Amino acid sequence: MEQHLNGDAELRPAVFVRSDDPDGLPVLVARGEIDVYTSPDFRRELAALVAGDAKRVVVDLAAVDFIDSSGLGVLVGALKRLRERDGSIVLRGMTPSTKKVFDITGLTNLFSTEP
Amino acid sequence: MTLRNRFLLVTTAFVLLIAIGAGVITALTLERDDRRNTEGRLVVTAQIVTQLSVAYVDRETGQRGYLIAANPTFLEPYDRGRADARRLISDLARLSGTGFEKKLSSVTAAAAEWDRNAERTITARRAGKTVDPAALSVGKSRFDALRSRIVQLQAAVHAVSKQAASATAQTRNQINAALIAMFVSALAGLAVVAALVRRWVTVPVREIGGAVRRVRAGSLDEAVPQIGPPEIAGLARDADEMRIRLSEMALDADRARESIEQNATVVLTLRENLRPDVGDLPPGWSVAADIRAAEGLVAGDCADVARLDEHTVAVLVVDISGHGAVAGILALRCKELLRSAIALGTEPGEALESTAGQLGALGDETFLSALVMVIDIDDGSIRYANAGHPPALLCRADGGVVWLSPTGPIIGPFTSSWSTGHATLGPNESIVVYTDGIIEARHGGELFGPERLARLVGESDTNDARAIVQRLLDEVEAFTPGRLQDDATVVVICRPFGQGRTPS
Repeated sequence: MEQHLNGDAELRPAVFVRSDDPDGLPVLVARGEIDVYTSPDFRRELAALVAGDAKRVVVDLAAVDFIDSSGLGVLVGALKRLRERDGSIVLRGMTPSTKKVFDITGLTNLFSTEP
Repeated sequence: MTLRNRFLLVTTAFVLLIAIGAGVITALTLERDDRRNTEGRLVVTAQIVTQLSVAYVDRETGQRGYLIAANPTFLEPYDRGRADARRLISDLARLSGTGFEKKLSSVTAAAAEWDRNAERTITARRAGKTVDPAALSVGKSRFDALRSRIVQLQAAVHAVSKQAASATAQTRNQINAALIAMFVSALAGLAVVAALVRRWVTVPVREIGGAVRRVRAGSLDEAVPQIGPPEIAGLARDADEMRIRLSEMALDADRARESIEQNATVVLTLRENLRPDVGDLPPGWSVAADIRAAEGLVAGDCADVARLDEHTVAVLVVDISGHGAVAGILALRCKELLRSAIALGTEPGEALESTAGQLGALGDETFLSALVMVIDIDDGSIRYANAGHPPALLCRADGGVVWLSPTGPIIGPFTSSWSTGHATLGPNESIVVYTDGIIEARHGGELFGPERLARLVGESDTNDARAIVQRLLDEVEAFTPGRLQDDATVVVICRPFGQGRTPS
C-alpha cells in the first residue's frame, strides 16, 4: 500500500510514503523537512505503520534535510509503543546532518541504524 | 389554521362571491336578450296585423267600388288585398308562440265569412244582376265583425308588447342592481381582506420586528412574542430561540473572557518565573541571558545563572520539546529540581540523574535537554553535564573554540545516566550556552548553525555578555522571516582578563 501526503507544499515541503521493503518490513520513506509543521503528518503515517503487527518498522530518512525536536518526539513516541511488544525502529540512510542531531540528543543508540 | 390556509379560504370565498355574481348577471342578461327578442317579434306582429287591416280595407273598398260601378279596375285592390291577406296571415301563423293563435283564428274565420259574402256579391254583379241590399248589409256587418276582430288582435298584441317592454326594463334594472351589488361586495371583500392581512400579518410582524430590533440593540433578555398564524409564530419562535442561544453564547463569552483574564495572570506569573535569573558575579565578570519565545508569552526554555557561594556560579539551561504554557511548567519544575540538586553540592551529572528520576515518566513524545554547569570563579574551572543539549561554546582568548558536547542523552524517553565533564574558562574568555532554537533557525533550506554562532561570538567584544546575547538573538530573528520556529535561549558568561588564578 502506498499513500502520499504533503505538508505545506510551498513553504515546508514534506512527503511521507508508506510501502514494504523486499524483506516484508513496513517502511515509511520521509522526504524534506520534519518540523513542527510537518510532524502531525509524520506522526499519523508512523502511527499507521506501528499499528500493524510488525515488530520492526523502517523509517527511511535518506531524503530528510532537517529534523527538529518535534520530529524526534514522534520517533521516540513510536519507539515506546514498539518496545512494549519488544519491537524496534530501524533508521535507514541518515544523512550526516540528521545523524548529528541523533548523536547530540543521544538517541542514536536507542534506534537501530542502517546505511 | 395556517396563514396559507387562511388566505386560501378567503380567496375561495372571494372567488365564489364573484362567480355567483357573474352567474346571476349572465342569467339576467340571457333573460333580457330573450325578452328583447320577444319584444321584437311582437313589434313585427303588430306591423303585420296593421298591414292585414289595411289589406282587408283595400279589399272591402275594391268590392264596394265594383258593386257600384261594375268597373273591373276596382277588383284590382280587391284581388291584391286577398293575396296580401293570405301572406300576412301566413306570416302571423309562422310567428307562433306569441299567444295570439285564438285571436288570429277568430280573425281568419271572420275574414272567411266576409270573403264568401264578397265573392257571392261580385259574382252576381259580374252576371249583371242587381246586388241584393240584404247581401250588402250582411257583407257590411261581416266586415265590421272582421275589423273588430283585427282591432282586438291589435289590442292584444299591443298589450302583450307593453308587458314585454316592461319585463325587459325590469330585467335591465335587475342587471344594473346585480352589477352594483357585485361591485359593493367586491369592495367589501377587499376591505375584509385588508383587515385580515393587517390582523394576521402586519400587526404580528410589527410586534415581532420591534422585539427583534430590541434584541439586536442588546436587550437579550426580552423575549420575542410568538404571535400570529403558525408560519409567523414559527419564525418568531426561531428568532426567540436564536436570542436564547445568543444569550447563552454571550454568557459563555463572558465566562471565557473571565477565564482568559484569570489564566493570563497565571501565564504572566509563569513567564516571570521562567525569566532568566542572573545572580551577582564578582566585579569584571559579565553575564547575561535572554529567551525569545516561539509561541505566545511562554517558552519551553528556561535559563538560570546563580551564585552558589563566593567561589562558584551555577548555570542551568533547560529546553522542553514543544513550547507554550505546558512546556513552560515542565521547564520550571526541571529548573527548580536542578537548582536544588546543585545547591546541595551534587555533581552536575548526578544532578541530571536525580532530576530525571524525580520527573518520572513524561508524555509519549515529551523529552527535554539540559545543560548544567558549575564554574569556579576563582580559577575558571568548569564542571558540567550535558543531557542531549547542543554543545556549549567555549571561546578561547586566542580565537579558538571548544564545544562542550553531551555527556548523556536527553531526559525523558528512557532511563539513562550522565557523566560530569570538565573544562576551563580562562581570562578574557567567554562561554555561550544556548538552545537548539538558535542553531536550528532556518531560512529556506539553510540553517543558522553552530559555525555562524561561533563566528558571531568571535567577532564580539568578549567582555560584554549583554551585547553578545542581544546580537545573537537579533541575528537569529533577522535570519528567520516571521516568527521564530522554536524558543531561542542564550546565556553568555565572560571572564575578565587577568583576574583570578588559573586552575592547578
